[in-house]
Amino acid sequence: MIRHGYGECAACHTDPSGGEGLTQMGRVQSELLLSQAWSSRPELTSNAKTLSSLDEPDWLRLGGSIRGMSILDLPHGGAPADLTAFPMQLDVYSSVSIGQFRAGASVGYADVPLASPHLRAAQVFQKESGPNMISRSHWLGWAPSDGWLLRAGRLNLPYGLRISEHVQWVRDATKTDRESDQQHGLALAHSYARWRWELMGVLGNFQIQPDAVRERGYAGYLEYRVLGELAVGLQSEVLHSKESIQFGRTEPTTRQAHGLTLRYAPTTSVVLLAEGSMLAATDRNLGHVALLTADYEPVQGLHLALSEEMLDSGNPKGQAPLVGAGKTTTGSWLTLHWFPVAHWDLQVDFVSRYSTTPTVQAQLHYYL
Amino acid sequence: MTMNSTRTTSTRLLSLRRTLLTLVLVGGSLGAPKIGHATPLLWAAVQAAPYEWAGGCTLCHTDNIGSKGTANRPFAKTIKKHGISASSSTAEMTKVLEELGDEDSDDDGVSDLEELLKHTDPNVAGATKAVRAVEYRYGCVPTAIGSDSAPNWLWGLALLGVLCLARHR
Repeated sequence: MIRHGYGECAACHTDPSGGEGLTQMGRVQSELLLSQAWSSRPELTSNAKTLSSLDEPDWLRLGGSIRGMSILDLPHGGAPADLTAFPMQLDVYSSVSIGQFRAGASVGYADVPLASPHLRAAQVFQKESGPNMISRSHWLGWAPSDGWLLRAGRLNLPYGLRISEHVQWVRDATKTDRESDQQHGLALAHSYARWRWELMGVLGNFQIQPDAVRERGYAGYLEYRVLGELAVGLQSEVLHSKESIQFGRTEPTTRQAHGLTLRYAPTTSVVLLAEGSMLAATDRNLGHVALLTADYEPVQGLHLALSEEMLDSGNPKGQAPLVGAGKTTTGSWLTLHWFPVAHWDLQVDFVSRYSTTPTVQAQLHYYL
Repeated sequence: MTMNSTRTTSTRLLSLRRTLLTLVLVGGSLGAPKIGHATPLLWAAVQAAPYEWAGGCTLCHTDNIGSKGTANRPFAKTIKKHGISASSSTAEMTKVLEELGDEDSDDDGVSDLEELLKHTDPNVAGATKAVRAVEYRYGCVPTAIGSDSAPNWLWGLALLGVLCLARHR
C-alpha cells in the first residue's frame, strides 16, 4: 500500500502492524486499490460489509481466509517432478471494539503433518499430527486514545516486513512469520504522523510445552515515513530460552536479530521492499539474512515481482562453515500475483534456492 | 454506461467470485486428508528402529526450522549423492540408510551408519557425545479433549458456514 501513500497499517487492518483481519476501510480499499479495476466496475461499492451484504454491528468485525496451495517440485538432479496440493489455510477472524476495549482472535483448521516445521506451534490440541484446531492470534486490548493500542495475548511478533510468505528466509530465520511464529506477551503499538512503532515483551508461546522451550525477551520495530512513498525502519529482537527448539539445543540459548527495513515506491507502478538483519545466537558465529523485492504493477491488480534473498544463519562455533550456516546461500523468487476481484487473489511463484529442487507454487486465496 | 450493462457486469463478477470460491472449496476438500510436506518422510526413516535418531532436522539442515535450501550439512550431501531428494519417500530413505556402507560424511574414521546407531552427529568430526533431543510438544489442550473427530466437525461446519454466506449473497 506504500505506492498509494498509505504508510500505516491500522487504518485497514485490525492488527496495528498489519495482517489478518480487515477493517471496513480495508475491505473497501481491497476493491478500490488492490483489485483489478475492470472498466465497467460500478462506482459505488458495498464492500465495507461482510461478504458485501451482511451488516455487522459497529463493535464487531468478522473476517477469514481460505487458501489452497499446490507445489510442483521440478525435476532436479535425477529426481522426478512431484506435485502436491493441500489446503494451506482455513481461518476465521473476529475483532471487537467497544469504547476503549479491543479484542481479536483467529481460529482455524489444519491437518498437521508429522514433524512439520509449520503449523504445529499454533495448534490448540496436544497431538503430534493430524486434524487440529489452530489459533494463530488471540488478544485483549486497550486503546486509551487514537493511535495507541496496548494488547495482551498471542500476537504476531513486531519485527520486519509483514509479508505473507512465511517460508521466506527473513521470516523463517528470525521466527517472525504470521503462519505460526506468534508468541504470547504484552505489546504496545503507536502510530502518529510519520512514525509508527510496536514493542512487545515476549513471555513465550504457551501453545508449546514445557516451559523450558518457551522464549522470553522482546521484539519491536520503529518506522519513519521520510516521504509519502518512502519508509525506513529499525527492528530488534532478543529472546532467551532454557532449551532451543530452533537450534536443537538442550542448553540455555539466546537468539538475537537486529536490522533495517525499507519500503519505497519510486512510481505508483513500482515498489521496492528491502529487509536485512544480523543474526546472533549462543555458541554460533554471527549470521545474516536479507530480502530485496521489486514489485511492478503494470495494471491495477496485477503484480510481477522479483525477490532475491540471502541467508547465513551462522555456523556453530568449532564447526566448519557450511552453505547457509557460515557461508551465504541465496534464493530467487519470480512472482505473478493477481487480484482479479475484491477478496480474491491468485499467486504463482517460481522459487529457486541453492542446492534445492526448483519449485513452482500456486496459491488461490479468498479473504474477507 | 447503461444501468443494464452495469448490472450484467456485476452479475458476471459475482459469478466469477462464486466459481473461484467453489474451486477453492472443492480443491481444499480434496486435498484435506493429506498435506504434501516431503522432508518429514525422510525424518521418519531415521527416527525408526534401529537408528531411533533423537535429534531433529539438524541431521541434514543447518537449523531445526528445516526450510528449503538449508539441507546443506555433510550428511545431507551424502544422502543426496545416493539419490535422495525432498520428494523421496520414507521407504527410499530407509533403503539408502541400509546401503550407506562405509560412507563417512565428516571424515573422522567412524562411518555414518555407526554414528547414527551410536546417536553421535555424523556431521561433526570426532563427535563422542550422543545427540540429546529437546523434548517438547505442541498444543495447549490435552489430546483427550481434542479427539480426531472434533476438528473434522469444525472443518465441515466452516465449509457449511461459508457456503451459506455465499448463497446469502
